[in-house]
Amino acid sequence: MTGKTKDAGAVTMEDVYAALAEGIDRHGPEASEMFLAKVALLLAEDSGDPARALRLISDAQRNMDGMRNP
Amino acid sequence: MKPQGKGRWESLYFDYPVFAAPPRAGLATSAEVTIVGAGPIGMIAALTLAHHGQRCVIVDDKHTFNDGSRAICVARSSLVAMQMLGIAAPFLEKALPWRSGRSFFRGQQILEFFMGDSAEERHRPMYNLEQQYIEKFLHDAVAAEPLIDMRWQTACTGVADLPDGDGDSGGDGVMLTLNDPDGSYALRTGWLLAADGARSPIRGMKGLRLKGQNFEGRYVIADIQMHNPVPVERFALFDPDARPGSTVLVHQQPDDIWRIDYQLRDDEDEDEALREANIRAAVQRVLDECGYSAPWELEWWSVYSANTLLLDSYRHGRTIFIGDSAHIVPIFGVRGFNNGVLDGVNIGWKLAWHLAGKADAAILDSYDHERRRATLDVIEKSGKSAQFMTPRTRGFTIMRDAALSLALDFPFASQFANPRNMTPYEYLDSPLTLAEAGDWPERRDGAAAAAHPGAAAPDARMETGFLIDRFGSGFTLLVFGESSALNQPEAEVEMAADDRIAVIRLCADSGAAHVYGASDGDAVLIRPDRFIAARWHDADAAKVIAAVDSICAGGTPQDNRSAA
Repeated sequence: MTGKTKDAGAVTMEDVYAALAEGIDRHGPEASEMFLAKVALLLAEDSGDPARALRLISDAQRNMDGMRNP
Repeated sequence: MKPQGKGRWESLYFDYPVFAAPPRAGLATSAEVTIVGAGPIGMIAALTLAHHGQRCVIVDDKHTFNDGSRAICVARSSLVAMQMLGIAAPFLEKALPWRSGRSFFRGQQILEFFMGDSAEERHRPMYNLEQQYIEKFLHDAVAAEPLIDMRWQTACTGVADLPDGDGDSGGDGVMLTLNDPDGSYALRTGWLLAADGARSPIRGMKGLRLKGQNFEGRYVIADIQMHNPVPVERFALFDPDARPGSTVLVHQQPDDIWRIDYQLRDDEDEDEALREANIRAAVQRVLDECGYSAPWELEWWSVYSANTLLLDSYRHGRTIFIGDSAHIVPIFGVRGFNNGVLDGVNIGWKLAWHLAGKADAAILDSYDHERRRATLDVIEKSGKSAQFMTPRTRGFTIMRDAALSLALDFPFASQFANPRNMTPYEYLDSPLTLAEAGDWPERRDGAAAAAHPGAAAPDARMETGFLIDRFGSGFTLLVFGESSALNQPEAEVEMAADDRIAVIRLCADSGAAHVYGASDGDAVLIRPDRFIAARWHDADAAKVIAAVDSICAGGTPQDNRSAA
């Protein structure tokens, strides 16, 4: 979380965090993976850097031991 | 399978001829080359051998053409091969050309793709034509070719390598046991080309097995006849209402024949799915979804698995495997037939040149090198297509559906659904491909076809006709502009004296120079199978002749190669 913008109306990482959480809730166990997959593809495309996207995907694999969907 | 009441050889659009076995009297009992299997690839190999002046015997156990194997997509590279063999005309007259396709996700269009095409190209990227016609047109040429001894109703039931007489690893040839309606006889052959298909009996007799992945999804494949005049393109329907959770492909063929391919889900019973009533119902649902309301008749249906399998080696001494006997690939990308054609063309010129004393036996090993790598490339590409068309895991299914869902709004995501259809594999690391010296520009017209050594030689439109028509049956040397040492009178004499090489002189500002990225003084050497072998900025007669000598000696291992 960056916290570097305090201006009223500016979008923060907290907003992204909440939007992902609300999206997962909205699509439920049936479709939340699909939703997150779409988000991931869009972000990767938007970055214009597939190699960087691969590194970040690898980063996300860390510390998955014992992680379960609630 | 055929509708109830229809015989195996009854078709709505094709009259299967009946071919008799040849009369036994006067039949040769030895041959320099024998091809087993008169499918498309066996016939292409026979015609290529004949194109280079080499005789062969071709045997097939059937009395007519295939009714089970039903390739329909003929790629530009195959038309180029037909053109080389002088037999393109009937294909172009009958086949339906196309260059685009559309994909749909749950009824909404997510992709329209266009295959590479340009005014420099004589042929369109793809043609649809039923395999029976492919075989008929090839067989018309085979029957008219005095160098080909075609023997129908003749099965090959035994192969035995003859003892090694000359130290060549393959021995002196192969003794074949042939069976026709009059009984069995022996045929001694110097070389055997096994073109006997996916279930190759010769492969079994040699104790060889295809290796690879055995199962990547099952598809039902059905041909119907329906008069429905619409532009020719390919449809792919992902997760359609007609078959939720499945993928459907629709192709139009000549004679109002339509091909419907639809995937069976893992929970579907194959026997049940193949019952005629269920086929009819499934086809009707697909047609309804496409908005096609014309009446139709059922021609034929079958089921296939999208396998990726190949032999460890395509050459076993004097026996060489070509086409489906050597490799089985998924249909996505239409690479089965079209790669088989390039197998036949590849081995055809090499074997003919070897038997004519113009090339060492080592050149035959480059067939395995080039065409086996081509299959591995096909397997990689079509494996990706198959993983999208028929995802094998939950993860790939989720990502596929996520991409398709995104594709409704974002064009980038639709590219995952692009079928990346057949383009010829480039022989970049082949022992026959010579390293080039100097810098060469990328093609300036931005067309897809490359013009570097190893690539298929691109065509170019000339003032009259096309560049490829001027190629020789052997090697062709393109010389661009005036300043090449090859334009000196002594070089012209030296080149003219070498009957392996035909020289074509082209202007440095010609369309051909543009296509080849060539400038004044450049030269490009093209193999008999119309792949680029070498190119130079500073060619002279000695360099060109040394290059041809090297190729005919089987080439240079890539590791030991220095710039030519």
